[in-house]
Amino acid sequence: MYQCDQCPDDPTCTYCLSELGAGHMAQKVIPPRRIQLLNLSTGSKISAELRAVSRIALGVFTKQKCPPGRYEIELDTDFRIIGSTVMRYNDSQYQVVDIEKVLRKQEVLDRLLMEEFHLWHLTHELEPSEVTADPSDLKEEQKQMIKRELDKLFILQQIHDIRMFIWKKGIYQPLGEFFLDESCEPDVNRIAERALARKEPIREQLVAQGMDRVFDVHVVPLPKQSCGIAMIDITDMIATERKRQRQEWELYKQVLSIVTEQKLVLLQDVELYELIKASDRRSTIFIGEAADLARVRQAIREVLGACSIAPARLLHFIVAVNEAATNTITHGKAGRVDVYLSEKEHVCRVVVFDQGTGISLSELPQVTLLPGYSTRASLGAGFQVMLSYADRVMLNSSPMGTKIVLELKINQPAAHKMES
Amino acid sequence: MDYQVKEAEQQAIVYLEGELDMLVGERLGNLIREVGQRNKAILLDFREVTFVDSSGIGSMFFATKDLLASGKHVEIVNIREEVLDILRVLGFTEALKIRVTPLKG
Repeated sequence: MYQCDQCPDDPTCTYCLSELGAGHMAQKVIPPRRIQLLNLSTGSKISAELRAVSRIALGVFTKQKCPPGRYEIELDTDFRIIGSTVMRYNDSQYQVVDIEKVLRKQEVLDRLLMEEFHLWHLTHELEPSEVTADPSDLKEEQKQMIKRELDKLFILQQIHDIRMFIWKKGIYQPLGEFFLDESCEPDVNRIAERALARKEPIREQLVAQGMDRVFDVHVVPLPKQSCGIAMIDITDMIATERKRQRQEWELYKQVLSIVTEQKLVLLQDVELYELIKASDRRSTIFIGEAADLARVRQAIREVLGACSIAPARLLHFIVAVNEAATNTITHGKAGRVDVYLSEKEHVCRVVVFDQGTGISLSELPQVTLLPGYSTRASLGAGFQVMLSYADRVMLNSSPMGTKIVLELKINQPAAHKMES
Repeated sequence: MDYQVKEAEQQAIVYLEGELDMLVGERLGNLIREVGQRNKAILLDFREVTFVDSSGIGSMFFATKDLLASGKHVEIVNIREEVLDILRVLGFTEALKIRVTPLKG
């Protein structure tokens, strides 16, 4: 009946992807995964197939009735998505579930408590816009100014810990009951003197070692060689941001893994270390220019030469490593390729270290999954080659650089072959 | 990369040899454009090509695309099956829709 009946046999059909409204970021799940949709208001369960994934929505196919509402979908034992469906289009068996949130079990309770708190908070809060909404004879300019001031206050309310001082010639006068951590004094003196010399405010972040806290420090020059200093404790904010980034990383990791059938794995530093620890390094090649690529290919041939690998399979693995190594020259500054062999696990691991700026989380799906020959010497095409020709691709990216691990399973460890 | 070009009656055969990687750079694209200007049909003989990657055939891709757009005929012949597979994965053959004849063996 509908195009989606052809899925997954017809790779050219993109009906399910366009329905997600996520542009190029949507990916087909091939083969489709069996899932269950739990209707959150009735508790009834619907069997379905997960056929398309994007950051904002899932595409599911079900022959059962699926009334509009909120559903919970379990993708893994500890990884669930809550989403909502809208009225089914034209009686199609294909259904788009808009992702509302992604949950891991231990988080569910925390999230519920937080939500209740926010709900309560919102109903008791005075919106700055409401104050100025009252028609009065205030001029537009004045209204704008009041709104700006209220907005500032609103921000200040969110900050738990703000310390203010008046500074004069190295003497601090606190505006409130707190003190300045001694370890900060030399730095704050330096900033205050510079602000006075330049006659302009300066902002800097300082670590108060004595308190083990991080402060956002604002220094404003005042008349008579004095300064106003505001120190905002941002330690918790940084911690929260880090936690959020970790969660986002985990979400990407799971989605990329599902979409690539467990072939693409995102690695944290520790996991990469553990992997390398379990293998023996056989060769290292530093890459600075295009001529070094031939040395990389030669090194892999030498390390794997003793293993019984079909020539085409070996060539294709070398192409995959070569693509990763090429990226270090195109996108990075310099690179390094380490060839490892784990005889215990019967696997060859090639780690390509690219000291470029790294790939940011938001770029990940585009960089790793966009197929084909999209741009000149594109990363997209390179990654497609890596995913096709390596048995597993692992990616570790930070501002320090990108590390790509390419694995090839080997039937027979090199040492055995040499003995015989 | 090494190459030889034979031209006769508006038809050229470009015999390519070796590894087509980043080092090839714009050379391959420029060669194809240059030969394409003088001839109506260009056969790219891949018999002795042992390796290709995305940066190696990048300039060849765009040169071929331009030649096709200007009405010339471009064809790949005698390509090893394992090398053709790389072109397929890169989306090269699909994007250009040119005729490719694998090496018989």
